[in-house]
Amino acid sequence: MRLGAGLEDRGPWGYYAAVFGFLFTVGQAAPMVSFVPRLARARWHGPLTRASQVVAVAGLLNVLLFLPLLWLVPSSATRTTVWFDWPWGAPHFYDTIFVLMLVINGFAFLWVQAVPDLASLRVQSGGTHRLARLLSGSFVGTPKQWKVQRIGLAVLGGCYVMNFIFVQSIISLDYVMTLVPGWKSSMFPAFYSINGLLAATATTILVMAVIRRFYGLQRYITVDQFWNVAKIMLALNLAWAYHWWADFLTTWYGRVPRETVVTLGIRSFGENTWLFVIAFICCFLLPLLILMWNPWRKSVAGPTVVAVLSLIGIFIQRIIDYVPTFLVTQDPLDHELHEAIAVPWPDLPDVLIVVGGLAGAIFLVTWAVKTLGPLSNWEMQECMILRRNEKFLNAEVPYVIKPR
Amino acid sequence: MHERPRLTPIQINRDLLRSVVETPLIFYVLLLLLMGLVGLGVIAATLMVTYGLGVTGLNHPVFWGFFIINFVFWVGISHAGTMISAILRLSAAEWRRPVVRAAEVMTVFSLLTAALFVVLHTGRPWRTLYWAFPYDFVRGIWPDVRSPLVWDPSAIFTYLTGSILFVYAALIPDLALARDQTTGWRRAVYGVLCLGWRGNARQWKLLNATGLLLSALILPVFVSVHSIVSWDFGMSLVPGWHVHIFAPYFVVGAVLSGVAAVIALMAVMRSLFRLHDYIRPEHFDMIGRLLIVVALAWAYFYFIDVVFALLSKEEAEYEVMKLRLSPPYLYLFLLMITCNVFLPVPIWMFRRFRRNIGLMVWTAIVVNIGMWLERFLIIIPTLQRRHPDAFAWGDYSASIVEITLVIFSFANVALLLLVFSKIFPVIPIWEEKEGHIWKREFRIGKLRLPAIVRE
Repeated sequence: MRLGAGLEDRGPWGYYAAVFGFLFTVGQAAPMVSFVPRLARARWHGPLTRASQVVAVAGLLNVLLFLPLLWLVPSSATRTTVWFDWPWGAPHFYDTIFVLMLVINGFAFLWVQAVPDLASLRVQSGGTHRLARLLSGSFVGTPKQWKVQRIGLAVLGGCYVMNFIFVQSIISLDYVMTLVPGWKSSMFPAFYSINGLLAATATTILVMAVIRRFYGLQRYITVDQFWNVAKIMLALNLAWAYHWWADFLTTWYGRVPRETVVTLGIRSFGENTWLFVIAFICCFLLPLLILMWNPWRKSVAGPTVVAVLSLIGIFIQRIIDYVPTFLVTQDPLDHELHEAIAVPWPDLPDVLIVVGGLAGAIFLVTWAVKTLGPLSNWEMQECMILRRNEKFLNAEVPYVIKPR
Repeated sequence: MHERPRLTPIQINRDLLRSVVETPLIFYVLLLLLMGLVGLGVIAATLMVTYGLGVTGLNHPVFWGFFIINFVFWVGISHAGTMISAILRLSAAEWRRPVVRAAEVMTVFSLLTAALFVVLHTGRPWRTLYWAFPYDFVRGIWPDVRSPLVWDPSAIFTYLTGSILFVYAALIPDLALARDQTTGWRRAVYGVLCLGWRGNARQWKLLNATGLLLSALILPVFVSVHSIVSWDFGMSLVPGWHVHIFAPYFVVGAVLSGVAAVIALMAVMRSLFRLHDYIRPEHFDMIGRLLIVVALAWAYFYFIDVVFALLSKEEAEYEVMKLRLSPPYLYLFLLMITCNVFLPVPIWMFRRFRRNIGLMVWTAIVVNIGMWLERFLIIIPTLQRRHPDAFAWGDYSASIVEITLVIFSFANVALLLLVFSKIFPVIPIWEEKEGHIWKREFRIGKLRLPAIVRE
């Protein structure tokens, strides 16, 4: 329906872009959650690895969703842009390359992590499982193969984190900020990335909760995983509020008219106050009130509720980011936005796009979980070997073994 | 921790109280040297107070110079204490134990030094009191409470108070130990300071709760302090300073310089007090890993700052950034970016280098040179730009008085740390013993592997 209306007018594509922005944030961010605790050798991350990495398959949908957007972003020749006077292809060619780079990095990360499990599946099935045979190659678990796999995970994970922050910053600048004449907030790309990191933890918790419930994995995915990720999520909820506050205060105190029109008028207290207030409550206020209490943090329900709230808040944040931006009429001679733009209610195609986008991502993740399994067997086993409960005086305390 | 040797509680007491009960010759040499440098600083400050700010290089429009650069730098260094202590304590990082106290104490002394430079910057230090006690009540000349310059003292003194409490709470068991190990007037003093500590179960429970509570409470203050310092710049409409990202960018930069300074401090303590069994290469290894992340985050924020100044197409902003990226500031810019990222990060990537203490100290010094330059590049070129109401660009050359006072600041912090180490144990003895008690080894296959408890 949207394509039928054409690509000349960017306005009707706002919700579409918001769905892309949301799925791109959520899908590409989640794999990072498995990398950080692995780097810190925390040994509680085993059961959540698959839940976080498998979300990367939503990247396929993101690439498809990105294609129409390529025609909606104007050439960098007539506007302020991060590409300055770059040679041919900016922004379309480079943006596409970066999006593809991140999606491929995510798939590679997932694949390298899953190789030992796929090899195990290949052996268990007697070589009849074609996908396992294809993807596990000749992995049989020799010390050299394990070493290569570990180095691969470290390199791909490190690259992924840096890649994610970079691509999120570039896409957010190109598709949101520089499309609004006169908007200049250096906080925006960082704030967008913080949203991404928050989405990563929230999605991981949500996927863990669903897998735990529907696969009956209560013995493997325990409260410990929720408790630990909830601490990170609380820190990110606070970071969300801090970045928003720093941006808001600098604008509010500065009183530069063009800044107040955008940062205050569109993004905080102006035309879209109600949307912002919901996002603020979902991304900061309620998470703080829930997760500040250890009994709620140390439960399955507490972090899961906060994860859902945070994802709702981030989705609304994406609507605030993209929808008014796409309604701005680009006039190359006028480099300033003179009035705030309200977010319109979605029409039927918008609702269908939102529902379809979310359903598509859920479908891909469900398919991947079914194919690769809900847990990473080798990492579960490794974590079980390297964690022991030992008696200390009258108590039993958990020990973490840390090989050099 | 893998390389922790087996030590008895008596050995730990003896080793960690050595700095308190013994005084090596090098201590006196360092004391005299540092006192000499501090004395020079006092002379320079006296000269400035006597003859006024004319003896500095400050002028119109460059009215903020080395003093404010130094103020921002030392507030940045003060972030080490909370970063190391509070965050690592809350995240139960085992490797924090030998470094927490030195980092916390450095926070206190850095903050005091930073505050001193704001006072010095006024030229007539007693005028600072006018802020607190306005001299003209009749005409209603009050300090503007809406000004970020008034937020500064509030934030700094809150952080200072919190940091002193933080240091003191963790010192109590060690003060009791010092009371039991000393005689005469020292015993009496330590006896008063340790607040009747006996080490019973209730006292330990209270201490642990206090430590956790203070860690959690001081974190927002820690973030707010450098954010507020950044808003001294960001809230103004000066092109080059009115930058939205300054708050997190300043905080990350502060953590980078502060944690790097802790590396240098650890190496000095290790060598001076023969603490090789306690401050081991693995500690430098862990801090090195942390610094990679912080340095890359700093580079990200710096990159955004530069891009936005060039992107905005606003003439004034563009001019300031162009000035920063043109000779002679270009050389300082290149030196800064090399010192903060291009040189240390590749070195920290390799475990072998992270465990090389000498190399780590050099990278820490290099980072702090880079961070000082960063503050210089934020303040000086921005003020030098041609204003609509001025006919020419400004110029700034630091005078010998300002240079002496910068050297004084480093000597002052070092002197205070040295004196502290003579009065109190520089490594928390009880934390070290706790680490030994929690330590275990498990057999997996043919290997015996070390393990730590998850608190």
